[in-house]
Amino acid sequence: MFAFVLRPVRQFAQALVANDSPRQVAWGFVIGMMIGLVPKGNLTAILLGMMLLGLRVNKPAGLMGIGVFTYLGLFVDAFAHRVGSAFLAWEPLQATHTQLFESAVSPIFGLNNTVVVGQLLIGLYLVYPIYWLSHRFAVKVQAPLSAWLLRYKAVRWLRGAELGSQWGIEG
Amino acid sequence: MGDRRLKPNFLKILRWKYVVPRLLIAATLVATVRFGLDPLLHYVIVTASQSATGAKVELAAVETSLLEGRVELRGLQVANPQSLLRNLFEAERTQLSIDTNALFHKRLVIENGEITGLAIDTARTESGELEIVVDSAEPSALDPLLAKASDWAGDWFEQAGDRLDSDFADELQTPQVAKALEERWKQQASNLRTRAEELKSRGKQLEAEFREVKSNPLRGIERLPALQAQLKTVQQELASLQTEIKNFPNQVKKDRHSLNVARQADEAFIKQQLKFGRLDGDNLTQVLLGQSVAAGTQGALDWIGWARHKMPTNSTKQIAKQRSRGTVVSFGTSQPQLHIQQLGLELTAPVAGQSMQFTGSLTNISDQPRLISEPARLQLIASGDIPVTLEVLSDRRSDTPREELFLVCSALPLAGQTLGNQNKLAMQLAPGTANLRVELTLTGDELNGHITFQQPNFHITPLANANSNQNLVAALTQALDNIHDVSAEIQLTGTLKRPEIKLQSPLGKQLADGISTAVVNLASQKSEALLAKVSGQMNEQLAKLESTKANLEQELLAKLGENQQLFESLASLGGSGNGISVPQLGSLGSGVLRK
Repeated sequence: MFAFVLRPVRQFAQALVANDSPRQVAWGFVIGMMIGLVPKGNLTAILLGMMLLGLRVNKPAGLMGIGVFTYLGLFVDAFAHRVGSAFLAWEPLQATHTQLFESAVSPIFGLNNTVVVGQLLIGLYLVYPIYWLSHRFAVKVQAPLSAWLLRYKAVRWLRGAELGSQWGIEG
Repeated sequence: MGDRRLKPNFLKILRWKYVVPRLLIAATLVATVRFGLDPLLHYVIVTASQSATGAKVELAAVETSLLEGRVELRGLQVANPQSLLRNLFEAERTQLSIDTNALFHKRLVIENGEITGLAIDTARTESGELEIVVDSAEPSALDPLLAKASDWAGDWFEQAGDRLDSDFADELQTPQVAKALEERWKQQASNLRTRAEELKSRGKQLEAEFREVKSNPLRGIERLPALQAQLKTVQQELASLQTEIKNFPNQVKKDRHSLNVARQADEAFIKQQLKFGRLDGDNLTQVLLGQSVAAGTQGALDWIGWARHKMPTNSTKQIAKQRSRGTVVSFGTSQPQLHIQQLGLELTAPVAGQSMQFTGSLTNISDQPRLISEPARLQLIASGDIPVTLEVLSDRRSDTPREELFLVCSALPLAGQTLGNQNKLAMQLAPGTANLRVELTLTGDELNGHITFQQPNFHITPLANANSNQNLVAALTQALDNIHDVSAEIQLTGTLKRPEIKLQSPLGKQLADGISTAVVNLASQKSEALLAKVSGQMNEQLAKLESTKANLEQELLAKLGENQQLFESLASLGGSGNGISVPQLGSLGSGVLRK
């Protein structure tokens, strides 16, 4: 229970003090944002999750992105539905949609669901702004904050055994 | 530092410590599916089928090929929950060609398939019991009607046999009246003889007393009035007896009338007893054909009801099922979750007690019939010597479901059967073949159907035992010999649960006419014989009465005649009524007193 409560704080700390570059942090956060926005239960969400875990990006940043945008995504569902509906109904893409649907690609990836498509488009639209913002944030904050935080035993403790073993600063 | 690591080599952007184990897991999963799918599918099919039927399901082997979209089941046996040593059906080999692309749409589409070695109602070596099944078989809707008709016909034949066997000895009046008259005449003759004897002895006594008075008139004069009074009484008795004898002809006339009345009553009684109502042709039709018609019809209706129960009913709800977030858009036409497009069948099924081979197809079976353009259809054609065509159509694409059944068999084998009570009188139907045509339509709950049945070379004979009335059996044999073919039409209306079946056939009427005529003729002969017997008894009794009367009259008159002279002489003595004098007594002739 205690670990559960502290997990977000720990992840935030890890995201900032981990030995990852700002680009890795930014990409991790972007992928997390995409995962957070897209409704789960389809291959798109699974694929994004595998990207987050399989690519050398900052996982804690990704998990933070998932947490934040899952919550925010619920508020934009109606808008995402409209965007997705418009995209799926767009005449020039009908043949493609039909082909994808009949070949079972879109049902498996959930790309025939208005909210999935809408959230994916919103996420894609937000990729660069979010990347840019999170990159700048990481560049500016990561190094000094890391140095400042590491002075505290509590932070070192929060980083956990995995991080400690990774850095060789156990204790 | 991190930037440098990502730039030079694309492979370096992958977290291999994560990716490699996942790839291994994925490979293991594929291998598991490849080698574990068959046992898993075997388990799922057996478990689901057992759950659905409530009886054992056995499956020898399952082979699947996901790449080819092929599933093959071998040695499938589904036990019958109602009869545990029988199989509901068994299939030697079931091969299904599945649209693998549809599986990604979470749909099961069997594009093509073939079931070979399919047999219905086969024997099992082991009990198929899985759980205790309560037999909930309900009686056919026709059973009460058949039972009533069978009872009626049975009663008719039983009564006919009993009445033709009976001679009504205890119930005829003529013999009873004749016997009563004979007794009465005997009694009366005895009575009259006694009275005549008494009169004779009384006369002798009076004669003696008069002789005594004559021998001593002075002493006997006092007794004379009393003797005169006694003489008078005796004379009156004599007159009474003579009157009764004179009435003999009247009495005989009355007795003849009584016998005549009794004979007329007997005639009416015999005619009444041997009067048979016409055998009801409709009832007889029900008895002869109703059982087989009811069994077949009820069986077909049960199957339709079962199929309707198993078919999906509310596909609209399933179509409207939506994801919780967003709307799922279907491109192209909506497709059902389960769709059997074409399934070839090679079926062995018992028909009228014979195992018959069928080939056919099952098409357009779906869990969402509204989404397919064609109704579900089962077509079977017999491949043996007996031509049978069966077509069942189930259209559930509209709000009102509609089922149609069409069956044509031009040589349906019919097993021989015995109708009626073999302890009394039963009918034996010889085996034969019949033309059968069935058209049933079930629209919503409304049932509509027409069945025509025709059997040439129809042969029915009465089965008699030692107790049967041989004359009746002979009459029935003659009547039944005239019927060489039978046809029937059955109209079905009502609902699936309460079907109303109207059976029409000239067979019943033909039989009823023949049997009724034969029985009426027999009854007429029996009636005439009984009436002749009664008349003979009456005439014999009348002759006996005449003879008895004449003899008795002669005998009594002879007896009474002897005393009449004596009484008249004695009476002439006191003819004035003032008594007789001594000289008069003395003048009585010795001959008179001597008598």
